[in-house]
Amino acid sequence: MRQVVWLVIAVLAGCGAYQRGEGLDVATVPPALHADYELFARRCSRCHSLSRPLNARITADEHWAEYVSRMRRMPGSGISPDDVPALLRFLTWYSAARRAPDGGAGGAR
Amino acid sequence: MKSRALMLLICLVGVLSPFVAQSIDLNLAGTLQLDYLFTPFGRSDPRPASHTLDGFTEKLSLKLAIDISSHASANVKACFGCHGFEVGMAYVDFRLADEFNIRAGRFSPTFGEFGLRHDPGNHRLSDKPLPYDMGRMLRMMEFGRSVLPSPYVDNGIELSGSHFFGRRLQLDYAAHAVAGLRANTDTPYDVDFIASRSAAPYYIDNNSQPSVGGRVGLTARLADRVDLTVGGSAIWGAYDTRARMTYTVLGADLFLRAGRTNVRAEYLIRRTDMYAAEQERFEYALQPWPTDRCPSGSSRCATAGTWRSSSLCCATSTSSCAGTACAAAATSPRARPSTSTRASRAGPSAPSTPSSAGID
Repeated sequence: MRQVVWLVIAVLAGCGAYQRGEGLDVATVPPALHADYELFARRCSRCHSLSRPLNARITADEHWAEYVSRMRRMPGSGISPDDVPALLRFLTWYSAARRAPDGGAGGAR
Repeated sequence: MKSRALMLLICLVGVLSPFVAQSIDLNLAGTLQLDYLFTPFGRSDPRPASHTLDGFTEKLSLKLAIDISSHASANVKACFGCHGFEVGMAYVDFRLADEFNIRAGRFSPTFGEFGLRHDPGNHRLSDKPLPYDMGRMLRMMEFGRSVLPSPYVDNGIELSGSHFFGRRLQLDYAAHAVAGLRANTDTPYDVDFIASRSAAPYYIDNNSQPSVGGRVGLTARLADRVDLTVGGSAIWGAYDTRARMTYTVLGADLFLRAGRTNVRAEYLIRRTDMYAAEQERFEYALQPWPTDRCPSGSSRCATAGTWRSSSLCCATSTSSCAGTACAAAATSPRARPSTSTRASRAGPSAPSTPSSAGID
């Protein structure tokens, strides 16, 4: 019985860590980009953690376009061509914010 | 002469093509996974060493993604794990359209759903689903029990594509021809997964016959935050040095995503031809091939000890049999009592059918 209790605690702790470890604090994202960020979080977390794109050292908009295009073609990505503009809007903002002298809003956790 | 001029012209067109990148974009990524398997035995108890591979295991991968243009990209990934250094990716993608992409080099042939996220950074648990597990099996020395150990990396070429029907439906396909799984003998009992992923003696095919396979998948957006993907995969090839023994791997996968909840399920099955002359290698006695399954005018037989439907029927009962082992395999199966607890064997006849399903 004690082992079951420890197992439940471990699972809950893991879930808590998972909740805290993903993505950005939405409050740091401009309100106009909230919907774009939600789409980004939903689509890109399907296959990998959000820290992967958020930590990518990509600065050029053209590179983001190629990156998203490559991801969109992954089997079952769920990223339709119509989703791309919103994803690029968020990523280019995020990329510029990271380069800002104050470190920008939000940061990949 | 004409052909050389034509090749030169094609090369020039390729070099001067507008597809060529204005700049090359690089992205370096990596993951490190460190596990410690603790077994609760005391120092005086020898069971951990004989039951499990306890202690630390580590997997490190470094990947370089190169976006050459919107029509070309390349990936190189080096991994370090239980088998030492391995090249997990070294391929180039040429995309003519979303629906037609050519991949050439060393890569993981598309199969199932887990293959896309086999990297430790892309799956949440410390180990893989059992159908794809490699070395972290439940008990020590139970390697090779999985259906298709992941990552399955091979040399070859793959055609793939993806098409959206509006925003709600995505259809994917992939078809590949690769070197295939191996066993470095012409009398194998099963696929040798260590030989299949080993660079020794060379990273080349052992039988010159490519393995073929592919996957078709359909993704539907059922609601704003609900996606459903269903897919079917298959691989077929010969694995022995004489390309006579074949394997077939079939898979079905389902992925349901509702909000933050992911439900993934896969079913895999593998049928493998086995060299069956030495029956003592098997834990179950082999049954003779049913005579009524031979074509009219032929009778049951065996050729060189193999246990395949195509080689078990011949014009006369003994004309193609070579040696006593063959005759024994064909006519007098051993009735050896089995004391094994191995559950993944197909039963009393070859080919074997390990199959498994996983949900995470």
